[in-house]
Amino acid sequence: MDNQQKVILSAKQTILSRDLAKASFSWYILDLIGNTKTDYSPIQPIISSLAASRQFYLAEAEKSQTVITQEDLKKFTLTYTKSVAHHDRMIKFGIIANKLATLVRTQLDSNIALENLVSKLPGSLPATVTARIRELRESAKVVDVKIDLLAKNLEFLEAEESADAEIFFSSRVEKMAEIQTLQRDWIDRLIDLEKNYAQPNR
Amino acid sequence: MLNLTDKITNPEAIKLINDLKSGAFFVPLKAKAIRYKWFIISGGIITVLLIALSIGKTIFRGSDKPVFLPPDIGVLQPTFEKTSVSDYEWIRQNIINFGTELPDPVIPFFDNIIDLESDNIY
Repeated sequence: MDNQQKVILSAKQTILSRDLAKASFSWYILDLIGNTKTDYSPIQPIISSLAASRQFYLAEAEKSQTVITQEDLKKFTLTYTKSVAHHDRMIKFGIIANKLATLVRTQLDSNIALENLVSKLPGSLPATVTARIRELRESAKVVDVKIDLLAKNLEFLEAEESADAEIFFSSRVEKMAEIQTLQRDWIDRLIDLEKNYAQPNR
Repeated sequence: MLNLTDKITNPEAIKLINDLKSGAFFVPLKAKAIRYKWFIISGGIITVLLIALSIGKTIFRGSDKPVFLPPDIGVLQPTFEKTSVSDYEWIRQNIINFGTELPDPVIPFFDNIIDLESDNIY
């Protein structure tokens, strides 16, 4: 085997490793989203696209093994670079989709917790307790709206190229932190209600 | 009282008794006492001091020693606070553990251009 053939072989192995790694990473993100067990419709297109991107990486990994000559390698790389940008963006959208799914999961769990708590409270409640329960329901809806707005602003279908911007991630950190704070305050109020009215003697 | 000179016949004993009666026996003793009077006085003072020290020690040892103890503040009773864990604490923990940093997970570096001039071919 001459030197050029050795180098081509090394290039093939590098391409194979790269695309298998991308496919694995895509699978990892899909798995994280799946573990939230949410059926949040705004992120369904992202999940589908990321699954398709994973198939692309696997196909490219397999295709790279057909490269024999330097010309084959050039053609492969040229074709790859034309298509890969879209799929790499799907990974970025997938990361955001995972965060959205996690926030939604917390909202679902919190709502179930509230209904569960209300069922444990005595039949006749003071007006203050009733008001607090009503406030919890209303503020949960406020958080739902904020999550929906964050998902809508992704502009996944309208502006996929936004994923190439440097601020793609940083512009969403503050919003997510705000939603996290609201959720935490909400659950603290729920736990306070539980301690004072559902289990005062526990 | 018996007259001792009636029973004693020893001439030296009789002389001694007569010297004691007349006081002549004490004359040389008086002379020696006057000659060494400062030694006798000093010795007497020292003796008195030693006796006084001895008496003081005996009195000190015999008396009760004062015992200094910290004031009795009683035994501290531990306070047991009832700590109840909420049934919804796990939700709170999930919220706390939610990472707001992005990207999360971090995207590994991938080189999309692999050719024969690439530095990352090994």
